[in-house]
Amino acid sequence: MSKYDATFMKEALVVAQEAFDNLEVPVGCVFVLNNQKIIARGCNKPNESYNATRHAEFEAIDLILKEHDRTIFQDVDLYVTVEPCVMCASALRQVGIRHVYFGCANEKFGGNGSVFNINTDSRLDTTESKGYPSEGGFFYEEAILMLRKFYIRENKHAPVPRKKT
Amino acid sequence: MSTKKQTKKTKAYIPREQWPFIEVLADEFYRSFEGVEVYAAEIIPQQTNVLLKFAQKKLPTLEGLEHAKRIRRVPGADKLQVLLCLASALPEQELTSLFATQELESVQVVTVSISKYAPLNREQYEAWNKSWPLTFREDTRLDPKFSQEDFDTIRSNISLLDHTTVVCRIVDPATNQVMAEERDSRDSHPLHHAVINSIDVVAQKERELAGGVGRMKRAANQMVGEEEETQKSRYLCTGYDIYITYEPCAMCAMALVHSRVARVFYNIPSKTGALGTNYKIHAHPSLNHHYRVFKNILDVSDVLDSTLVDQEL
Ligand SMILES: [Zn+2]
Ligand SMILES: [Zn+2]
Repeated sequence: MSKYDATFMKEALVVAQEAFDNLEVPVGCVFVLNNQKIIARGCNKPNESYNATRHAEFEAIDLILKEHDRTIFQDVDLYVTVEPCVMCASALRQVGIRHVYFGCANEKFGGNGSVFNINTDSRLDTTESKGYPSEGGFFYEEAILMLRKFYIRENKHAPVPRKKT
Repeated sequence: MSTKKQTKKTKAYIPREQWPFIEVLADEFYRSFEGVEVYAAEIIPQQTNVLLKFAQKKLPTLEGLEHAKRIRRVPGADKLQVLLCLASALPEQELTSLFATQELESVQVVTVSISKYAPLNREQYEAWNKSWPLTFREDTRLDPKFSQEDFDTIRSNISLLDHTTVVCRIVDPATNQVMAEERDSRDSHPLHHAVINSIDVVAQKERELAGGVGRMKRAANQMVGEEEETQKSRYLCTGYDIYITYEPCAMCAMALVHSRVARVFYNIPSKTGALGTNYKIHAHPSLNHHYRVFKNILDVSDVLDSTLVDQEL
């Protein structure tokens, strides 16, 4: 049974800070086995990897699958600072995650309630893909603050369009 | 000797009805008539200005009905009907008492049903125009353009794919160069669908081009999408076409949004597909990038692997 533990969300925020320091959109996540053990940390990496699909969730899932069989996800919960986007929300169904805890909502891309409910849509059920419970709002202020800091820094560095002389 | 102007052969574009495949459009293009109740005043033409001034001063505005004509002729009578306001805006007695104070008592108020939504194509216009006249201007500028030559290119790209499994080919339409072609390899990793594998190949090439270090000038991240669209930036798959044997799942359809592809061509819909069957992720208003999707490109029913269709592809 999944039990929320704030220490894991705080750890996800630490990982998100790493993404911020690495000039990526600050999203971080940790995957926790049996409510006790962090088995992977995921840092958002689209820029560095030149691949817009390398979200925190994908990075961590790849680390886990290098050492574990995919059935491990039945006892694994995800703590992520921002609601998984539609892509990650679908990926989580397909690896069979047990439970998701997230920080702030993802109004533009959220797949766990904001835009779509990928985690509860039974039309998507197959032998390899099942729904999962997902709850948000944990340390959401910290998550939003980090996102805002990122976009303020982004806009400061955005190339100012030079006026054609 | 053709003159300078004509050297660029103007392609003959084929009208939509003759396309050999179907475009998967947003739900708004398929919805049927939905009426909304509106008060209208029945008057003789001479009263028009007085009435319009009265409505403008005294009545709630007619929001959201810009697609409806304000005035229509009453068939068989020298009378006009002028739209006043939504029936939900105020009770009818209040409206008629307002009329009384403006010496417009003789004016008769009727309730008409008007199309709640603006028509997006000719079929909707002709069907929805019956209950109250609407304005409709067909804007084909945004419509995709296909010539016969384009159809041949599309057909050849997709017919080379092995339809007994999920194969995804990414093509730069400017050069018809194949940027990546990968198949589904989920037996080694559950998320290694054809689309994800192909995007990884294109990303790998980008990394090598950039010397493996450093980052794309413009964040390729589209996590939370605060970045405005003004900077016309190049994302990993900006402008590319995707050819895929089966309709992609929500993960892959969204991966194509993040990668900013231009068009997707798939042959066979899938049970959990997200580009037409369960969702239209390519045409969702809240997502900040939209792409065009076309399905049933070739008839491949003979090679169809029905068990495959039940998985998320
Ligand atoms: Zn994501
Ligand atoms: Zn897929």
